[in-house]
Amino acid sequence: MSKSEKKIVLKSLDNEAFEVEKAVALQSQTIWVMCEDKCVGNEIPLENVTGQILAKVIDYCKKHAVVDGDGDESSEELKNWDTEFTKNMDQSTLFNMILAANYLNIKSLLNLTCQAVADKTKTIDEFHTFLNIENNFTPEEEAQICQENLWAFDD
Amino acid sequence: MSDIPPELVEEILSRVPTTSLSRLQYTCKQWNALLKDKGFTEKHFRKAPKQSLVLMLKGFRNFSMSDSLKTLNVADSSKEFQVFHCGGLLLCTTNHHRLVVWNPCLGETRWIQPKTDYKRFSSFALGYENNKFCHSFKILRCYYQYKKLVGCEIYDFRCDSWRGVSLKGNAYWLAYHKIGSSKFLLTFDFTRERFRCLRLPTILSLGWTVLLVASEEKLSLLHWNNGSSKMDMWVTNKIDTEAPSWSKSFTVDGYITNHEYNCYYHPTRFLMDEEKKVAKYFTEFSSVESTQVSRHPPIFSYAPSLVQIQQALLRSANQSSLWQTKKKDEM
Repeated sequence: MSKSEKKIVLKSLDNEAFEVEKAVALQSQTIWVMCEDKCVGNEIPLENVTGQILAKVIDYCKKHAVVDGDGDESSEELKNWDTEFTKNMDQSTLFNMILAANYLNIKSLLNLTCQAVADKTKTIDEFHTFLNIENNFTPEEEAQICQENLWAFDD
Repeated sequence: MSDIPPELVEEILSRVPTTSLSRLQYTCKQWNALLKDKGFTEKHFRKAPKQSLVLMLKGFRNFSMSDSLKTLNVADSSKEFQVFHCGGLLLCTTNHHRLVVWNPCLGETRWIQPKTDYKRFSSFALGYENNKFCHSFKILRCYYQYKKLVGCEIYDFRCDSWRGVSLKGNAYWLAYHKIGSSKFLLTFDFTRERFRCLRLPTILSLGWTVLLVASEEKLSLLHWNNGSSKMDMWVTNKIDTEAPSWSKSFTVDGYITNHEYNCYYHPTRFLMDEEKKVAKYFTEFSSVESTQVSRHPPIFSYAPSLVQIQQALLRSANQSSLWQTKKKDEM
């Protein structure tokens, strides 16, 4: 295999190009299928992911590809790296990371980002904002459900 | 933020701790429906971080020290009762020989009809089949005559019946050999419905030992050697193997007096926090809030879950209406 065959170019929604090792990119099942189909050249357009998010996804894939490859780092170190990776992400970045992990079909990244949201989101309002949902119980229904669960709310 | 596909909402919510999720349930119709979906509750049980709440039960009233859970009021004048918990469900048995299974987080209860009268001394344990897709809960009843175990029977929630015969759904006890009185662990495997003996390291099989936590993931033991001024906390992580490996987690200052040595080795009198390296020990106390006070209210560390209590698959219409009437009276 020549050097160029081992590399692949990922192109984001906003036309940012990233050249990465094939082994790194193939952690995405979506990209793997695209490469298998041979319907794309060396450049893969990813129409749902922005450059800013794609850069982070590639960081994650690089880290995990290295560890899978030579096994130098312990799973403990990798776990710590994952924690640091999501620690300072704001809600909007995490939201887009989840969508990207889902679209690119990278299961471990989806697990990691979903868990990070579940850990970081605390209040009912935060959950509603993040998941774009409103309280759709009418006041009557709410009263009824509270009645049914009256003892359930009892302290 | 823009819309997120429903399957991703499920992915996120299945990782939210039980008590937070049960608060969210009543704020949105879709989520209310989701939390009643068996597929989702099973997924949640596997993925959500296990919480640890401290519960204390007094006359079937439940006081949680770290979060507000629910109370169950039962028309039963019983003052002493036992509690066994597994997978987020509590099995309470009164000295009036009544059995109730309860999920304090969902507020679900189910009364279990005893097969025979329980005049014989009985002990009960709750567990579930180690099945990947659903929780099939069972109750084990062991009954005794003149302090000797004379028989066991199993109650299966799915068929609402008794027939002859908690870590990963299994139950654990400390047991003693008749001769030499050395200790071992006795476990009941609810999947195969078999008892098994597990060896303890020699150092733990002597001295004073109490089995503290039988959670889904690990067992812990508080161990004290006669004459020592320190107690050791031992834990095991691998519980599936024939010979689980034990390691010393931390040491606390303290010892057991002669009086306590004989009377107080009941697990529902100790709490331990491995992270903070603290063991708490509760001596006799009573409450002024209630007149129905048990002298030794069970206190234990409990992991809530959204696991629903299975209702029987086979139940005649007649039995079902009887059940409804009974339930109303008891609430």
